[in-house]
Amino acid sequence: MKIFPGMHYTMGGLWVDYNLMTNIPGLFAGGECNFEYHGANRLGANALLSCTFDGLKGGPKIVQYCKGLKQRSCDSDSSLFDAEERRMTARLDEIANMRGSENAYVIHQELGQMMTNNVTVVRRNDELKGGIEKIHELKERVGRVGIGSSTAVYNQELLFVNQLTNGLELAHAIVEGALQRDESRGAHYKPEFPERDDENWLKTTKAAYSPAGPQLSYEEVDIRFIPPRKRVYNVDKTASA
Amino acid sequence: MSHAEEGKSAPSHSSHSETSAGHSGRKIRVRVKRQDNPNALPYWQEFEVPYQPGHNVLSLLMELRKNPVDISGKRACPIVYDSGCLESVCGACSMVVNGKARQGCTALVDQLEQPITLEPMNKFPVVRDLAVDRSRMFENLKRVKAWVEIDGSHDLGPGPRQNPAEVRERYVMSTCMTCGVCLQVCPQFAIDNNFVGAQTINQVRLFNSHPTGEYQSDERLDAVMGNGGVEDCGNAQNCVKACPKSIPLHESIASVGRQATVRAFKKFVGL
Ligand code: SF4
Ligand code: FES
Repeated sequence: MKIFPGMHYTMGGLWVDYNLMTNIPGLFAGGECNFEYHGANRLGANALLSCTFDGLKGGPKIVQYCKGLKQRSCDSDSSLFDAEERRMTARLDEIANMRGSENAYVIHQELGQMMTNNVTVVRRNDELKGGIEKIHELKERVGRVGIGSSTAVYNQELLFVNQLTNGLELAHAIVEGALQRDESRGAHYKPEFPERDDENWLKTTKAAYSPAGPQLSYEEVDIRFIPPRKRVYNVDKTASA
Repeated sequence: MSHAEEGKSAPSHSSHSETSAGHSGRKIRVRVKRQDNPNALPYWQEFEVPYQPGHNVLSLLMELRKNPVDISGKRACPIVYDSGCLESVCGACSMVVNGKARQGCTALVDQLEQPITLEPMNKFPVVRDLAVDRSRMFENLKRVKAWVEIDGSHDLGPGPRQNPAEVRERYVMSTCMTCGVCLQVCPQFAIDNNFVGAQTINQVRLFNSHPTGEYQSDERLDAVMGNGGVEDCGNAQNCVKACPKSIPLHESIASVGRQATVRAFKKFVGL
């Protein structure tokens, strides 16, 4: 096993409102898959916060949401479901018929290597820009993979290509968000901008999908109860400020 | 854990690789038992992967996916296998490595004799290649209610105090990852019978000894009594030797066996 210093957590995830509902009505996200609470660094043991709080709060909210619905999904017109099934089947068929020369696992490794080299704790803008170029290259190459698995049973390669395609979008959002944020905060450290810049960057980065790449926007951080302060370890915390 | 005992071949033992590797350096040779679908006939395929120190069987399989060509130069389908945690806690990657049922993620290549043979566990239905269907274990967990039943989401107050020594004992039982290795090595557990096996019996003991879980003790015992139940254990004790989590499975079987006897007696006399 190889070990190196890195960030302790990805600190990002699906956007949810205070009721843990994503921007897709009726789709809730609880636990580590959503973006809540952690800000630019998730401190140790805070996984317990997300699992207990989201379960405690999300469960009743989901029940409440369901009770308030005027129409249940099983009463909806079946054509809605049929259309979605056709869309997904078509997507999987499309992947299954890919006969290009690229290997999806190699592309995945290259993506992982680039993200590890350029987009962990220390981030430099030129390397981030290089990362985005690499992602464009990989996005193009993933369209030319060849599927080597013939039978339909448990075709892991097919699922892998589907995930890799989505994973490239996610990586793109991470790198783009990091590139824009010219400051250092939590597990995001830019040697060119070593200080935290609350005036410009005390905000959450949001990314929305578009075929051309992630569309970024920002959301204010709620600091009503706990004003942000510098996280330092070399001071006596018991001394009054 | 007991990985040391598998160090049959020292990492430097590579005499066979000189014949096959040529100028390009050492290779790792691996033979994989493949099966295209649940009804297909299995067949063997042999591969070579450039040597890298520190490989485990899963990282070797990952390497193979990047260039799935067998030793005769023929393109192969990437090998299908299950994995999750890569650190011996999820139980998904169980397979038979050099004849021994174990986790692929903890099987260190440098400690394995080559060619390394990889086979699916044969006590479970093969889905494809090394991936097997482990749902029999999960169905059994449902049958024995392997959980602490809590009614509703209202506040029940703090749970009963527990003796720390018992908590420690139960902790070990709770580390079971449903990997199926104990069942693969069990002479009583067969693909076409209904013996519950050590994995489920251990969970019965775990939840029957929990101060809240014990309220469902009778139901759990009823589910492991009679045909295919705990009495079918032949006491071979292979399970306890093979369990990667070092769970004292023989003690769990003995304990649940005693509980079942008491339950049977009480039922007999109408208690
Ligand atoms: S008891 Fe041990 S061998 Fe059996 S399923 Fe659990 S972890 Fe695996
Ligand atoms: S991958 Fe989870 S136990 Fe091996």
